[in-house]
Amino acid sequence: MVTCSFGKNPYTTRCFNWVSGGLFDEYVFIKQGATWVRFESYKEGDESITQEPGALKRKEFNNVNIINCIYKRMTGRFPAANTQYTSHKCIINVVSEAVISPTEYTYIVGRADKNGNPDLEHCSEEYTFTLYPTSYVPRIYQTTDQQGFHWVEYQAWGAAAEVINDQINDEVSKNNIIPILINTGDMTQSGSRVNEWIDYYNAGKSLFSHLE
Amino acid sequence: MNVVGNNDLCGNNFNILGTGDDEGKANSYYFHVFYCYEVETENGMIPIINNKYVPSLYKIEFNDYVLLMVNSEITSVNCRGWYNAVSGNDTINVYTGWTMPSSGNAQYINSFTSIYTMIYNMTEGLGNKKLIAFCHEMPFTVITAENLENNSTIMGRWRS
Repeated sequence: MVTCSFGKNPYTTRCFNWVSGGLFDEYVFIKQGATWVRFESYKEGDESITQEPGALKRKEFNNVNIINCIYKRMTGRFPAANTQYTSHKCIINVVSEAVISPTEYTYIVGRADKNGNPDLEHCSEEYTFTLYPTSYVPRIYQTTDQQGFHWVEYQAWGAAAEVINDQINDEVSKNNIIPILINTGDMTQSGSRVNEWIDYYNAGKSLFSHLE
Repeated sequence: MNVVGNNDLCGNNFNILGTGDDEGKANSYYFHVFYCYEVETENGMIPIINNKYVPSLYKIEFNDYVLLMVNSEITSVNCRGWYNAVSGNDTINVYTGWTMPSSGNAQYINSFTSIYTMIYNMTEGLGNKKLIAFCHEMPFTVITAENLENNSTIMGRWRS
């Protein structure tokens, strides 16, 4: 389950979260030309570093406690399913200044091979995000309260997501807008049931695969 | 971009599946597992209470608009059992910083920055930008009422 969200500065920064089985060092890989540039997810013990200004860098924080409390990898076993998981988090300054025209980026998440390249057998499929110029106007698309108990109860949401996605794509193609997908809560019926988070995500994947 | 809803909560012990009762729907832990948002890092804004992160409390700043995402779902069970917000026998409301005594007068405890103060600090210095706030319980309906009145009848209507 992979998500990309706006950073505090939506013109330059993106936040990545993904939940993987097992306990492994994992990375966000962003495509730059023919090359994948990788960024490791935050982990406990990461030390803050001073960064030179510039584009495409993992965002570091002056206060290490902030990293460890908020952004460090979360590990555990899901209740009942007992599956070992790791929640990975990584925030990236994609550009140092806002772009002058919409710019799409492709990314994957997962493990690296011995050379540091994506180990595609242990990586996600490709997703995209888009950076927009500051002259583009935010447009909000709100959803809420999908809360299903069983997979089938999320299929109405899945059908709605397809319609919303078509609408957003149409409006983005005709207007200078920044699409913002906002869910105001109750994605699940009970937060401790991991299947509900996954069913919600999979049903809405047409949106989540390219929108924040 | 998401905010947490009451049905997205788990128990203070996030390892237990729970039954969906009030005890089992108190904690935003799994919202934190499945989403990452960049948060404020300035003093008085950092969403941390007693070394625990407050998920679903962040903002995004566009040129003309600021989107403020608020966690409206922190229950008294969570205040006491997760954030360890207690003063003597009383639970402290982490939104306000005031205790919720079963009898007698409430007291303001300043050992941590309350969420309302964090929100106030996050909304300062926005200039002419328009602020749009999002939360699940609009606008803090049941929880705000409880905050203001410390009334056990209102507390009984917390969850829906």
